[in-house]
Amino acid sequence: MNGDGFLVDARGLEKRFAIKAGFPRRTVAEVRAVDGVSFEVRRGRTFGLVGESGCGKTTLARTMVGLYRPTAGSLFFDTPADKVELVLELRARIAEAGTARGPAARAELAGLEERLEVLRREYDVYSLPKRKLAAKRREFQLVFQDPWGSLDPRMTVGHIVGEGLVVHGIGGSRAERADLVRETLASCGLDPDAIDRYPHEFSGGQRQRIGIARALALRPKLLVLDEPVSALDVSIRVQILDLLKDIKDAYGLTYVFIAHDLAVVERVADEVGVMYLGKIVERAGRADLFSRRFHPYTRALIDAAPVPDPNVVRRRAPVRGEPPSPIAPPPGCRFHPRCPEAAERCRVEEPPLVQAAPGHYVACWMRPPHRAAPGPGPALPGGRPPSAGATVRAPGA
Amino acid sequence: MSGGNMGGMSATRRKTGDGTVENRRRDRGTSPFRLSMRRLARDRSAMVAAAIITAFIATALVAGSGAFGIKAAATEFDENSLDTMRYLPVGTEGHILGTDGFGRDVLARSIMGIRTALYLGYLAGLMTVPIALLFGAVAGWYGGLVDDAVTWLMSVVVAVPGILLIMSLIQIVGKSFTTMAFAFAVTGWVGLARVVRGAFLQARESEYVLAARALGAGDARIVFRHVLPNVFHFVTVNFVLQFVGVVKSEVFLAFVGLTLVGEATWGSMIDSARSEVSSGRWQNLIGPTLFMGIFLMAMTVFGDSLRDALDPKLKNSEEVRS
Amino acid sequence: MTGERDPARPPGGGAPTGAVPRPAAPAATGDARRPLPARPAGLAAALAAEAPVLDVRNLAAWYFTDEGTVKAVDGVGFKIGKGKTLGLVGESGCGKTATGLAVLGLLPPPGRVVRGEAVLGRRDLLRMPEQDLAAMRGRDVSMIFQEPMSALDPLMTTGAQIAECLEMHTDLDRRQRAEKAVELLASVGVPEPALRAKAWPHELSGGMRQRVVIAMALACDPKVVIADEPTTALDVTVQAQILDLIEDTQERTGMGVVLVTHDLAAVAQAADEVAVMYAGVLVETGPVKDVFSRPAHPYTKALLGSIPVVGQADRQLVTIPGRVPNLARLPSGCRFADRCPLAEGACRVAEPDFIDVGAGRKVRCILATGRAAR
Repeated sequence: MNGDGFLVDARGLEKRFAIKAGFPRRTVAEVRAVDGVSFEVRRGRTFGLVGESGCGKTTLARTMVGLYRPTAGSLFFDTPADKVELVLELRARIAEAGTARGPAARAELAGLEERLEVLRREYDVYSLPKRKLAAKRREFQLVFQDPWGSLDPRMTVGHIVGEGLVVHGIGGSRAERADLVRETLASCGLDPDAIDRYPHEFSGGQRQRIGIARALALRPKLLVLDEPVSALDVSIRVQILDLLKDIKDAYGLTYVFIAHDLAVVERVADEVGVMYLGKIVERAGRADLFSRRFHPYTRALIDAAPVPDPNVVRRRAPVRGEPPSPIAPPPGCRFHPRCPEAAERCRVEEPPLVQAAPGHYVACWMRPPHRAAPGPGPALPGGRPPSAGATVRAPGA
Repeated sequence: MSGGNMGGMSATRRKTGDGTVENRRRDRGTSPFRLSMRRLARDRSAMVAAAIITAFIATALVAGSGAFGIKAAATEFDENSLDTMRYLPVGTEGHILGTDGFGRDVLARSIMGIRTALYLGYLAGLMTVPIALLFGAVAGWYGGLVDDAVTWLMSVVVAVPGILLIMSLIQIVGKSFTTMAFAFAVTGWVGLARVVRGAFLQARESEYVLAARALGAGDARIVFRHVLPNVFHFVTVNFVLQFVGVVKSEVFLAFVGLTLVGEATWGSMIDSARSEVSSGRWQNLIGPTLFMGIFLMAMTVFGDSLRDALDPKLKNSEEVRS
Repeated sequence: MTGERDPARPPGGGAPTGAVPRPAAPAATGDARRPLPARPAGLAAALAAEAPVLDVRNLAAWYFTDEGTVKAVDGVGFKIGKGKTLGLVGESGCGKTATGLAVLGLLPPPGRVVRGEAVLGRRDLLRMPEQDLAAMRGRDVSMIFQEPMSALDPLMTTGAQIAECLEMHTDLDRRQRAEKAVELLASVGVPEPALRAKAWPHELSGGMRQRVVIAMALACDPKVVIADEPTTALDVTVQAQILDLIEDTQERTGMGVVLVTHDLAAVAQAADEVAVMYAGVLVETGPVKDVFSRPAHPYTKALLGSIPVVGQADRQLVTIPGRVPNLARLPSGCRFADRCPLAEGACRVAEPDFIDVGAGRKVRCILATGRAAR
């Protein structure tokens, strides 16, 4: 389809979990795990998502691959850009027409809604009919963080990696499937003869390779990687990062790479989104984000990033406190209780994610376009001056 | 805890570098089940218990087939003793453990008691497992209101004293092995169902089930390929331990007069021997209590060892992580 | 190991005593009376650093499993000076946690200490009756665990848990214990300590729980604290706070800290000395600055090179091939030889000795020590 377009186009994704209690059960509270997240991922690129625990990044990953049904929002996967535009235009017109009265307006509204529905059932992952979604699943796969919990201990490696092939009826015969599995294992740096062995016979790094092979066996277009290296030892991490780079090139994959470790994301991502309490607070090309780091939270994350160099004088903890609960996010800007720069407006009004510089989006009242940009941040903890200018331009929203 | 590669590699028995592809002969891995069996084989008390149980089963089969006249000796009345209540003392006229008041051989009846116990326990197990699996799985898998309803039902069943329920059930349906086994199943499924429900709840949230879902696997596939195999060990252990419960209940039922007339059961033997103890004859207690004691002991020990060997938590403890 | 505290190092923010360190009472390592808290650290502590508060020598702790003897700790030795921090680093399965547990006599079966000494004050912790050791745990030496949630009793309020430590080791009465618990919570930076003392562990955030665990560990002013991955379970912004807290407390009480971690960055920031562990043995020890700037052992070098750092995305990361050897079937020569880019024939013959290369550094590598000798 559109060669240079977006593979993923997420619009206003929202996922809330109801906390039920009592008898009979009723909803006593709501966790707003993902609260209106939009982003695009270009074909063949890596979109990095950074955030601390509880920011909703794992929920977002699982929602993206259809494990959770979002409370609101759409995900256009491998959709021609003009169709996405059309959907957005229709939505805007429906919103407009919704306020109009009279039979003519109502008829127009019905017509618009019908057109939108047709488009959504064709392109929006979450609106796809069940069977279509099941088939589509093949194209986006998830890699889990925990190499110990994500493999069924009672299945052989061959069954684990081949399960998707069986489910989707890929590979005619058992032997054909076994060949596919062996080939995939080999591309993931595993011994193809390991297919008869069980997960407990492998080390953490090898298990993670099995998890990657399982996702890769379906030859997906998109891999959503949920903290793929954070459970591994440092010496193994580099091996897995190398592997991810290799298979990305070999299979022409697109990645959504989720991590809490900024240094890892900086290495793998072309574009980076920083998440805080269910929202993206800053999004930009990698170099741009790391050099400008507009949002105070991004700044705090980078400042807190540990540096294995005793000669770098560590700044005292850059922010106080911990992220508040996503059950009751603070009013106004969600970061204001911890923010060193918070002003009155931050406490009452939530800042929208808007363009602060070309391709650089920030949700902060103290930053452009609301205020003038602050001076460039202090030298990066690594000791290198921030590289100037953006090399990767973020797509417009 | 440290020592991250203790179990993982010892089971692998050879080292492979991460990221190296080596060509070597294809070999079959060691499944968690095989590991469990290895653990069980190392457990000496479990092996002794298993040997006893095997011997019991073999004896019951041989005796049940009518060989050596055991079956006959256990049931045939001595015409003479019908009026006189002639008890033969231990070791007379070829009766190693003597005879009861009807002139029936106590040893033969004790042996036939094994058969009853095994049959009852087996039947009860066959009936319990599907009930428990069904309720446990449905409650754990669907959650919400369904879970509430099943949990409530389980609480009700538990709240009623089991033995009363069994007694009334047998009174209503009539005495037979099948009704007794059914009564045991109706009261005994809750324990297993709770465990199964827990396992389903846990599995539903486990990452490997999420992973299967992400691959596009449907509910049926997930339940049968990923969840049920992880419930299997609870079922096995429960099956073994249910023999213990069934035998104990049977004895109790015999005490309140709910026994199967004409069948050799340890319960009925103990019950009739009880009345003789007051007149100084305790010999008829020896056979059934001894057999029952050994049987219960062996089943309990084997059941517990099996649980230890099959418990996946133990498997993880082998692979200690830092 | 007697690395002097770098005079240029800032004296842990917030220390109200100012720049002029007052001379303090001489270190009383063997003394029953511990120094009072809030004593200014600095010169005095540096002078006293010659006498180590904890001296571990040739410690070996093995797990006797069905599959064979797993030599999790196989001859580890280190010293911690007063007010100093030793970073004990290594990857999972290298035996660093087992080392910490063994020193405290907390090694779970089938693990057992087979040889070695751990001298605290003048007594060997490893040859002490369990009763005496139990009395010392919490009072003279205490531990901070990785998982703050599992280290706390979910059925006790935080205040009660801290008070329990005090009850075991001090003669304070009930009210004094409660007051001290609140005081301790305040000292570890828990806001509204009086209120939080009445809170249950589940009501606190991860960082707050870790602060409570630290407050418990510090309740009796121990001479040594063994902190096992104290920041691993926490978010980066909180990690920095916890490291600050440990450093501040150390400045205040002069305790020695063993920072057991896989995180080289945490060691770089918080430790004075570093001991790198690999497959049950130490491969390199020395002052953090020297070891990090000029690592001598190929493993240390590779480990440092494998960590991605923000702002250095262009630097090629070092890949360490393979994985740690099986501790039940160790190779005959150097334990790292199979993964070492420099290994030669001689490396596989005999295990290299742990050789002193001067400047307070030791290295277990025939290539490195050969070079150093030249």
